[in-house]
Amino acid sequence: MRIRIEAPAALAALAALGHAYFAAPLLFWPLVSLMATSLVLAMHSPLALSRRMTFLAHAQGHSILTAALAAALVLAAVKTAASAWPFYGLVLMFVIVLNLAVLAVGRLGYREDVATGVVMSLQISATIALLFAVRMFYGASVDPIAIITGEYVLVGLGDVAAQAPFLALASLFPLFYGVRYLYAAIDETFAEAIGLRPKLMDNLFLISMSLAVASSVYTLGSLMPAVLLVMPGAIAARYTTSIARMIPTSASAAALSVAAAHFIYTLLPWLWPSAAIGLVQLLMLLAKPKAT
Amino acid sequence: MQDVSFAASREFVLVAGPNGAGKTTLFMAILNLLPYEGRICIDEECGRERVYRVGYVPQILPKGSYGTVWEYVYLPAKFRGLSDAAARAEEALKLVDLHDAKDRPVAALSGGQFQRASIARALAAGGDVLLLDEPLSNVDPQGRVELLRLLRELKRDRTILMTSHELSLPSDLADKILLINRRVVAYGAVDEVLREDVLAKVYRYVRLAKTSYGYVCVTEDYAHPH
Repeated sequence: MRIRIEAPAALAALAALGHAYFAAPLLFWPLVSLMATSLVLAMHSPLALSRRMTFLAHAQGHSILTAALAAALVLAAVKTAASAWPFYGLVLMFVIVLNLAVLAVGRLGYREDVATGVVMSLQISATIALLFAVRMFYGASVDPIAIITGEYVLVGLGDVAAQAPFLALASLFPLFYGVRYLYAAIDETFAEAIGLRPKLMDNLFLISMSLAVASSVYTLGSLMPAVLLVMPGAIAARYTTSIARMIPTSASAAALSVAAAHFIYTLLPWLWPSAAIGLVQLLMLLAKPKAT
Repeated sequence: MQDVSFAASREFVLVAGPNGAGKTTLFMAILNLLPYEGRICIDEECGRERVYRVGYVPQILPKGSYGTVWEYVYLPAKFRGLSDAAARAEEALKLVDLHDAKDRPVAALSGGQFQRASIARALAAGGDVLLLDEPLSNVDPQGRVELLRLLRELKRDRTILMTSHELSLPSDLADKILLINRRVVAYGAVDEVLREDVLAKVYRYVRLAKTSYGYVCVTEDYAHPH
């Protein structure tokens, strides 16, 4: 039996936003930001899974931690807030540098997954060094835990306005090339033969994914983007077999989980919303263990 | 590949050769996806101009692929901007007898059904030249019969190139055989190429017999002797 989750997801998202607006106004802009970032990341998720980039998507999550710490350190030095657009710009720049490092290591003769693993190993060392640097020099102005978990409750209209152009840009690739990219994953040779350009789309996808991750880090923290790049696509593959419906279903899974996480957080304030999103998505996956 | 020159027009060409001879590479060259030395002409069109008329039919579907049969067939025609993409996909699915299965996941098709869906996809996208890459290798006997029946029907009005390890084929199927081993070793009518002395140029062991079914051929290539 086919299950369409788009309409329930839209209703749940509206209900959560309405609840936040009228009953918990402090959570309204954080929820808007969480919803928007989760939707854009989830739009990339089926694309990452279809091109066997799950490991790379997860690596993006790890690179964000290093990049966010490096960006926070730079911003602390010049006394700029971590919610301002220079933060997103710096995170994006560091993520791109780390992606280029994977390509550079690959040129030494390693396979892509090995090169990714090598760069991730270096990143872990860099992350520890950056954590100590933050604690030693800027302990009063930068909270490393917030970089890992996201600020969430501190998100305001200004933060959403700073995120919006980055998120809008990041949504262009899945919106306009998503179906073509998913099709190219089925048969790259045929796709090339009919004029699609899978290699170019791979590069555009990597840029788009980096942009989505960088613009979500202030709200989601540096770990959850990796979850949102993998889980919604995995859930979508359980609920639909249609290429055209894969991205809407993945985004709907994210919207449903964010809405549920909002209500869970208002009931259980000790359960951080991004953690609740992960748990809800796990339940959605387990609710339909076999594909349609 | 070097010295690859041949011409085919409205005929069924069986592309044969030992493992590693470059059969799939030849298809990539025909699709202009790989460089090659030589001149390949199909239906009197040579080089880059013919590429959008060529429909490639792969051997297998990658594991974990998304999509319904309808999307598998229809979307390439749509991507190519064909105004009648939906009608072409409908017609192609009817031709290969998969119209009733159009809402099924393409990953759930049997080997023979997948080959027929890939042929429908190539036809819908405007391919009146078909390149079939080892279509018989993952197909059960029933699927093989259905596929051969379809190929007989399709070969009436289009050029088909099919790679195969198997040279035992019904005599009414192939018009020509292109024997390759990193270059063209022999190209001609079936009776001219399916001879033990010609096949011995690329196969270590060859036994050949002509029966009421067609040719029955046992070979063992130089690259992978038992």
